[in-house]
Amino acid sequence: MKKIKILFIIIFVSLISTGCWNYNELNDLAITTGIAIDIKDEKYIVSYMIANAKKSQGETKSQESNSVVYTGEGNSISSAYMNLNSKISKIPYISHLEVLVISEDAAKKGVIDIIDFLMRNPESRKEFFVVLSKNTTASSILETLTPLEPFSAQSIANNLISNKTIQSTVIVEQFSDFVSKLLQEGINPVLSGAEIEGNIEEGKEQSSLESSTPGAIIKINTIGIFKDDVFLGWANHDETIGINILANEVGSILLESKCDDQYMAATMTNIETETNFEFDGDLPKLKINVTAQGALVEINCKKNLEETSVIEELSGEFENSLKTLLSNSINLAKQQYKSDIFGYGNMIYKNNFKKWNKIKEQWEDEIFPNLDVEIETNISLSSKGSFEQTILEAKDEE
Amino acid sequence: MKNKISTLQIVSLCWQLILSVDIGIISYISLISVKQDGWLSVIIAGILGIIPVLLYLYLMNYRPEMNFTELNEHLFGKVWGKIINTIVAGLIAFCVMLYFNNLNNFITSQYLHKTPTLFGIIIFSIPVIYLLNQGLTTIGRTTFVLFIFGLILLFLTILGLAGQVDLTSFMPVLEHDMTDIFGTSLRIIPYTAFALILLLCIPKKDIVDSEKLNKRVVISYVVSFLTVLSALFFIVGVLGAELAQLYQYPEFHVLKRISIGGFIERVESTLSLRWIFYIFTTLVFGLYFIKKYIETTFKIKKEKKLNIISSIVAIILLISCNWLFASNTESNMMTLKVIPIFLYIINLGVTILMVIKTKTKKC
Repeated sequence: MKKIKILFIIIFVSLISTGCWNYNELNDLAITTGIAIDIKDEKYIVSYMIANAKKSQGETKSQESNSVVYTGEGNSISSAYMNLNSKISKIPYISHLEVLVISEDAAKKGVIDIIDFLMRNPESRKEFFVVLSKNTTASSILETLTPLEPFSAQSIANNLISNKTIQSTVIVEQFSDFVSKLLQEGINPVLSGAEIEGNIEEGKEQSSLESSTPGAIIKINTIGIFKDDVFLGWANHDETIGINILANEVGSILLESKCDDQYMAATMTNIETETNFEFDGDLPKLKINVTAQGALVEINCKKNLEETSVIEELSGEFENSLKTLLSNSINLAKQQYKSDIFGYGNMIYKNNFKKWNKIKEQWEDEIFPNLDVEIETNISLSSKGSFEQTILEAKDEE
Repeated sequence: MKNKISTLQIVSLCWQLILSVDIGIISYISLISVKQDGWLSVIIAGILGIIPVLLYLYLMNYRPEMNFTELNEHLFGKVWGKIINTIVAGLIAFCVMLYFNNLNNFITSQYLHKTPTLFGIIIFSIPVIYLLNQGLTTIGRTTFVLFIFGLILLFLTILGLAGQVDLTSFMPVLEHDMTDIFGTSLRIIPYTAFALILLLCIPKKDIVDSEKLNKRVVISYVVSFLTVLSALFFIVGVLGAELAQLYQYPEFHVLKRISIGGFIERVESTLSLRWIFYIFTTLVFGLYFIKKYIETTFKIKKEKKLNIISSIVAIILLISCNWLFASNTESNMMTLKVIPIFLYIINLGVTILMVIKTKTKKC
């Protein structure tokens, strides 16, 4: 009897332990690395970039693309997804999603619908990058073939990471961070913008990759500004750098300054931004202090770089340039968009909750646009590269 | 030796019983009610929650040869004792269903969203019922093994999240009134208190080296609460209170951020196994409590008969949890507002009555 019991248990356990219910084989999954969301005539257009699984099995012919973009349309994102799903022979699997691209138009309408769809989806990991498409549709960004990476989604993700360290003209915002900012008091989110440089249609063709100058490339060097979940507009290249410095989210930057009639440039590293508030009654006054270490990389004017006073003079020039750059960025947010993308309101909320309760109703429309800001910059020009002197100065000495 | 358990196993049991109410209950209640001030509620709950623990220890020490149901019959007489035992057993049965429902909901909503809940129920019911029939010693050993696994997973979790905490997420401190914070603590206490009442199903005489029991239980209680606090610390510190509030199980989502050495990633499913262990242990002990209730109340002497009856009861409870709540919304509402009241009235009410009765009996 005991043996029969044990046998029964072994058979039962073997039967139910063979795998998960409704399991899916890898071959049956359409691994989605990018999602693009556009809006046209009040309808959502959802595009999924599916990694071409045949490639990994060595069956892809040289003419075949590494990825395929499928598109569906619907009144809601879910119905657009279902519409898209009907065109794919496999099951879309978004756990490996790397990038979500939202079109300008969809973002102008508000991104709450998109957030809700992706946050609810249990397959989505919420740890992917989000970018806005600039001057083109979001699906075009995904459809553009990239020379250095097999998928455009991967190219965007890698571009964001490298750009943050080298140029600081992007915001490396993961989906959950973006949602978190959207939910917090006294801060509005920003997203990096991706645009296509070149011929959009050519960029979709495989032949584009066969040339040494691809028909189109994806460029990410701007930031889109939001107020709550609605996209307002773009910051330019310099304003983007300024926004990143003020947010203390910067790796290194290249700073240019006038030098006589020419230009000089220095890379700034170890940039630290300290922000403090003082209150005049209930009105806050902002004090920003930015420190950085500079390394001169180019100087096209005649200066004696062996003089300490000259180095101090040049540092002063760079400090003024940085101050102007920061002022422009603050003014863009304060006056043009009236959107507190730096989170100064959030800073007051966290550090002086009672004051925030008094001013929060007027913050976005009255106090933030007229915020009194004092900027201090302090640059230590510590390196001149391999040269001690400028070529022009050395030539004169001869 | 079939019904003996060591103090160390009791300590591991305390830890798991308290942490089993962390996921989906304590963190949910504190985040929903007082957001980033939740840590204060947990600290207050931890301090006040020691009172029921001391009462339980007092009852355990009062008659070391008796378990909870026997003690009740001894204190209140056969009839009232049975009535009180039935009410408490009913509450425990309900809570077993609630916890199992929570576990199934967690599994089906986070990992296996296409798997029918009933399938998960069957998978978990088998080891639960098997352990129930094996007796206290096997349950104790299993609990201890799961405790060790849980500790390793907890260590890895802390290692992976430590660098990601943003302390400004806890600001502003005291955004909510002390009344709200205190009220939240009062909602947390009955859950932890209930979890530890399960210890009373073990008579002190069945605990090996029981002379150190009181001290060790109190220490494990404190350490367990610190662990609950650390869970909340990582949830708010990494996700932020606003985002954490959105998730049904923020504990699971915070694990998605884990990166150890830049190459150990996507390990949330493995690391979250410890909650499954904790709830599993609580289920086993809840059902063991009911088994002891059946044994005492219906005077069942034959072990085989007792095992069959308790297994049938366990199967009914575990399977019917699938139909306990119509939706998650209803389950959350009950967890937040209704169940704490019942836990106070029945669980703590009966405990206080028992303590009073022991005092009057002495007189």
